[in-house]
Amino acid sequence: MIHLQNVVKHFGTGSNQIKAVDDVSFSVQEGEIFGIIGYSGAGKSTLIRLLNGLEMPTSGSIQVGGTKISSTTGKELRKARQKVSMVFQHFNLLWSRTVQENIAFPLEIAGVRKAEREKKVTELIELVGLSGRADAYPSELSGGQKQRVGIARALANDPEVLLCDEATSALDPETTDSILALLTGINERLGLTIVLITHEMQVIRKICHRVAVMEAGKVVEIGNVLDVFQSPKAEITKRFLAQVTEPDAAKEAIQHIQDEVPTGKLIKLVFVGERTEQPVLASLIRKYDIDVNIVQGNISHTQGGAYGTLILQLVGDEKLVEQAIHHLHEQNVQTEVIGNGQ
Amino acid sequence: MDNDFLGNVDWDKMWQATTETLYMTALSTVFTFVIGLALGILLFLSSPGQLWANRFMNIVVGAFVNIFRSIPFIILIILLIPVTIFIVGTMRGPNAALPALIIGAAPFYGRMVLIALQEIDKGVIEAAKSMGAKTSTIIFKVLLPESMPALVSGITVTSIALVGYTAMAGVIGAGGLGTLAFLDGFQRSREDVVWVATILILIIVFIIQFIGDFFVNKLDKR
Repeated sequence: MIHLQNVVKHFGTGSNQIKAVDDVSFSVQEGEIFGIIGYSGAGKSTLIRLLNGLEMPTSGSIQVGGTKISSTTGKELRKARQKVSMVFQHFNLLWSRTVQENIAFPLEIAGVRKAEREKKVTELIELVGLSGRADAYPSELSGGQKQRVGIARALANDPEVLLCDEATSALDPETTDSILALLTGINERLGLTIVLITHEMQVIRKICHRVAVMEAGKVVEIGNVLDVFQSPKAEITKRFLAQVTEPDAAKEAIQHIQDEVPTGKLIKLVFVGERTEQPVLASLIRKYDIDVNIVQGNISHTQGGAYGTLILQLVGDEKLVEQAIHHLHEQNVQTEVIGNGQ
Repeated sequence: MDNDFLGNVDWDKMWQATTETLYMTALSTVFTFVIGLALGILLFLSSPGQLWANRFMNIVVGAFVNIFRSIPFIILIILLIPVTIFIVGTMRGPNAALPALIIGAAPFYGRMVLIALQEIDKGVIEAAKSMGAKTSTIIFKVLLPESMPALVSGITVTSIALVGYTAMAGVIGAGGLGTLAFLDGFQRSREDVVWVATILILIIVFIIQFIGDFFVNKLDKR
């Protein structure tokens, strides 16, 4: 659906030159929800704007659907943009227009006749769950409702690709969930390809099939969400994963147990898929004569299956602890020592 | 001087002067609105990073606006005498004031339009672009509606300034309340004529302000 080949984007010239996107190549399949994660300044905003030609690459080629965006200009490009629509972090609604007039705007641009516009707008308002608010102005809506208008507007011309530019970053966690559910529903029902950028790993975890991690203009890691969660390679990916698996409370818990029981060995287990449902821990305790303290644990669900982490402290004879860790490895549970006893 | 207060006021003349002032203000406001809007949009779109980013055009239009905005109106009228005679054919009557009024006020309003357009959230323009909007669509369906309250309050302020300019245009014999107050009132020491003309000008200003505020409130959905 989307193919990027050696895409480079520079801003400025000479010594002020910034490489916003630096030799990026990847493909996105049709019907996929593809996430791009990175900190601000990583180049992800520029990257997503290359996909609808709001920015043009310095070099490299970009193909979206049947159109080579990187070499399309003028009328052709404007036509192509109707099939690659965008949802924005700050909604970018026209405050001078009501909900239905905002949703009708892209249809006006596409030259759709009035009767047809009205029919389509009514459908879309229904689809995004804003029935009864058609005549409200954006200033009368909550953030979540505004983003629903943004999504309805983006869907108006039946696009093939939906680009989400930090679509949930300005929303509270609960509203974020409802917007993500809406996006997942649209992806499933309409088979729409979605590319989203975010700095929140939770967003990737909840709705993406595949993820690319960006740092300093480069894609440093790319793969299925579950694979990346299970065995992150790049340092920055691990830091993003910590957002999901190691909340601040966990760090406090680890600190606390190290103060309380300084002799134990801290290990982190990662479970993926079916492993999350098997009693690994019970068999460990039965088999080895060691004490096990549970420090912190969680299981989260991704589009590709469940994913859990468990942080344990093993206290006992050093040899037995070593054997226990070995046993876990044999059980195909990914185990990592994250702290040694003194 | 007559002891009878208001005894010097010739109401027919006063009424005629009022209609002249209204005529000059209304017509120059309409032209100022259109020309100022064009200048402001041109300045906005040619500024760096905008749709028609063009340094040369930006500098030329910017210089035009700044120069004509800076010349004191009373001097501008005199400088424009040849232009006025060329366009209107005479230096007398309300029509003769129009070129100077418009050329003096349009750049001033153009600045206000520029400021109003700069207040528009860049994201909204980007959103329109991402939907495949043409530049003309962006101008008429995004830029103008989204800045309408500021454009209206700007033309209200400009229109009120124009009322003041029409009074000054009296020096070239343009007519209106300013001329009446100066020639019939001040120069003949008829204070009551000055007062009545002043009050009528104030009433015109208040009415313009009231209409402007009414529309700004009606238009602003933010």
